[in-house]
Amino acid sequence: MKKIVLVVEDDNDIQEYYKVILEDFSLELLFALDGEAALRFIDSNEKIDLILLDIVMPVMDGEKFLRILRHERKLDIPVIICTVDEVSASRMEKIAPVQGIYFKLSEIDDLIDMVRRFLAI
Amino acid sequence: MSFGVVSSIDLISVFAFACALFFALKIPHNTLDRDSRLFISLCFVIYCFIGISNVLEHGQITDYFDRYEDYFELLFIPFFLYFVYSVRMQSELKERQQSEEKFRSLAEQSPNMIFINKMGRIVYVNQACEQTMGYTVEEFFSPEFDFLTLIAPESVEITKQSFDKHNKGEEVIPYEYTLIAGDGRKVEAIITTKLITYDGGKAILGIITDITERKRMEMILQTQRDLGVVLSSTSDLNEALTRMLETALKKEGIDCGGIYILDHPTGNLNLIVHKGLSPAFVEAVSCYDADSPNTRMVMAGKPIFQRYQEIAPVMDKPHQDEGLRAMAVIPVKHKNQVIAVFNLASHDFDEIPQSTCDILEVIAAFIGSAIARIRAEEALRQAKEELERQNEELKALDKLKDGIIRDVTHELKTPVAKQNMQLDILSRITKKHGLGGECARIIQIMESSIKRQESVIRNMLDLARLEAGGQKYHEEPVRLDQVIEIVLKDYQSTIEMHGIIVETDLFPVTIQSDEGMLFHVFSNIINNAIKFRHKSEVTRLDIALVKKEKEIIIVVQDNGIGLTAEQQQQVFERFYQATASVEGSGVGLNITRKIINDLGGSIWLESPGLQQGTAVHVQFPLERGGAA
Repeated sequence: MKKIVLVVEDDNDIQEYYKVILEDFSLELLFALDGEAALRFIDSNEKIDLILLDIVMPVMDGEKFLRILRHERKLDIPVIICTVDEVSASRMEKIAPVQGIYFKLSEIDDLIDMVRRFLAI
Repeated sequence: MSFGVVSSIDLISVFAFACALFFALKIPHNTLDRDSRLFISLCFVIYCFIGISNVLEHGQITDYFDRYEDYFELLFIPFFLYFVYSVRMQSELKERQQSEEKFRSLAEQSPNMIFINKMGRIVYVNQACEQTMGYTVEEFFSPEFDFLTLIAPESVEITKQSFDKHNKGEEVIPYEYTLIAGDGRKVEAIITTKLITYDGGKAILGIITDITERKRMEMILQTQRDLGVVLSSTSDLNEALTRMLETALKKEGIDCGGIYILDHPTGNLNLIVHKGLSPAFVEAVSCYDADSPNTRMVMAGKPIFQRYQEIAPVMDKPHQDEGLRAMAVIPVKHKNQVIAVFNLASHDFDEIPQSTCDILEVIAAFIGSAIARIRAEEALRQAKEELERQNEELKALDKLKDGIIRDVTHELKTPVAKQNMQLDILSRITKKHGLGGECARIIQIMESSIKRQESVIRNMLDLARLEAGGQKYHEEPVRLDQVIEIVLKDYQSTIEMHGIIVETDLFPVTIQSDEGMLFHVFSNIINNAIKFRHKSEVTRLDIALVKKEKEIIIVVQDNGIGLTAEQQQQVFERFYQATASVEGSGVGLNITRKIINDLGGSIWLESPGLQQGTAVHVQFPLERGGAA
């Protein structure tokens, strides 16, 4: 059974990039353009194994999504923050526990390593 | 006369003569009055007469006096009895006079009022009674004088009960009561009475201690305590003033009043609280202009206690219909400035009692404190609210600024990140299709360009964050030597790649600083040393710690391209680039200096000139909380 990764990212090009770099790991990728869409996936009882979460998004940003996920829904699905901003990333860590931070300008292997580790693939 | 009778009379006479002589010799001459001296003289005459008679008879010369002798002897008995009685009475009178003299002497010197009341009439008063009560001795002793007129109506009952008890022969324990002096003044007193015998009859000795002053002090203390409770239990000015006015109106001789507060910008007096006054009167006197006679009278700062009729002519809006008789106008001061006025009046009294006047002045002082304290509290509360509001605004601004920085960071960095990602995809495709050579070179150039772009954006954002005050420092003890070693480790691959020789002279040293920011600072300095190396020479990098008394200096010496004296001056300026060809935004050293300064340190460069290397000196104080 394929592991499901929910990619919460408002930029289609970046979504495409994740698709390319993760295509070799036979994962099922779900794409949400904002936090609200991501919550709808979660509410539809999809068994999500990992969330790649952008921070700056329209409608509902990553901070609000993480707060609802952890504090209201009380879900502990592993989350990797994917961002270009170190300051925002450290603020996210103060809101709720996250399992990893990927800086979009650093080596992509960092993200691939984290995904493999959390999904045990 | 028979022989027996004659002999008895002789014996009695002899005895009587002997006694008379004995007394005559015993009694000091000057204590005898005229009657006694006459009597003693008469005794001598009789004695001499009988003696001569007996001598004549016994000498058988003649018995001429013998027949009269017995009559003389008989006369002597009533004379003698009268004499004894007279001497005794005289002695008693003397004793009583002496005793009374002693009593008067003591009583007149006593500060207490002392009186003797016999059968409801005053028969003795000392000077203190006259002075305190304002009556003369003659008035006290006058048959028309009723001592009950001295007693205040509220104390008449207890006084009568006390007299009744004494009349039944019982003693009475001392009690407090109120007297009314001749001028209508009330005198608070403690009376001690005792049953005595005076002029042969029962009388009451009374000792009265005037405790008016003590009572007045007690009342002031009690009022101060009550007002203290009022002041400590409320922060509302109107409530505090109302309660203080109510406290004042419980005092004798006043039944209405109000408190005005001076309005600072206008100088007008505005009535804030009032009691016992008609609505029409209140409306008429609710405000006095700054230049009104009433306000001017108050601003003079002197308390006025007068009949209303005396004050009214100098007032702006006298209101005769209110029926006020006595009035008190007490300016309320704080730090010697009139800030309010406390007005009290009486519908019943023409004069406010002195004891009440004293209390009113005490209350006025409390009103001053209350107004000042509550105003200060109000000002403090407003300042606090303003501070909180500003704080909220600052927080909102801070949040807004954070949001803006976050969005700008996102907007600037995301396209670069996307370029990087697309380039990664391109790189994968070229590798997959075996397109090396020119494609790989182009991709490498693009990667380098993206890195430079990213570096420029990062520096710009760092600078923006630092200048906006968005950078928060987390100072803690930091091992400076370890920070430098970790930075060198981060640059290890670059150092090896360029064959740079690094020499360090470090020792453990701890300072109070922000570790993350120190990494940033030394990364920038080492990065510069590598970036501006002499391409044709082996690059050397010497890093040393120099400890001085109160500071630690980190010296990073390179053998790079160096700086001219002019460049050394300009290098910390924003957007300054000594070498245009080298990648960078020109803000790196500007940011570095800003961080070092924020952490209490300083930075300066030393270079002998172009191509002669540069020494970067970073100084931090040791006493900022850390020590080696």
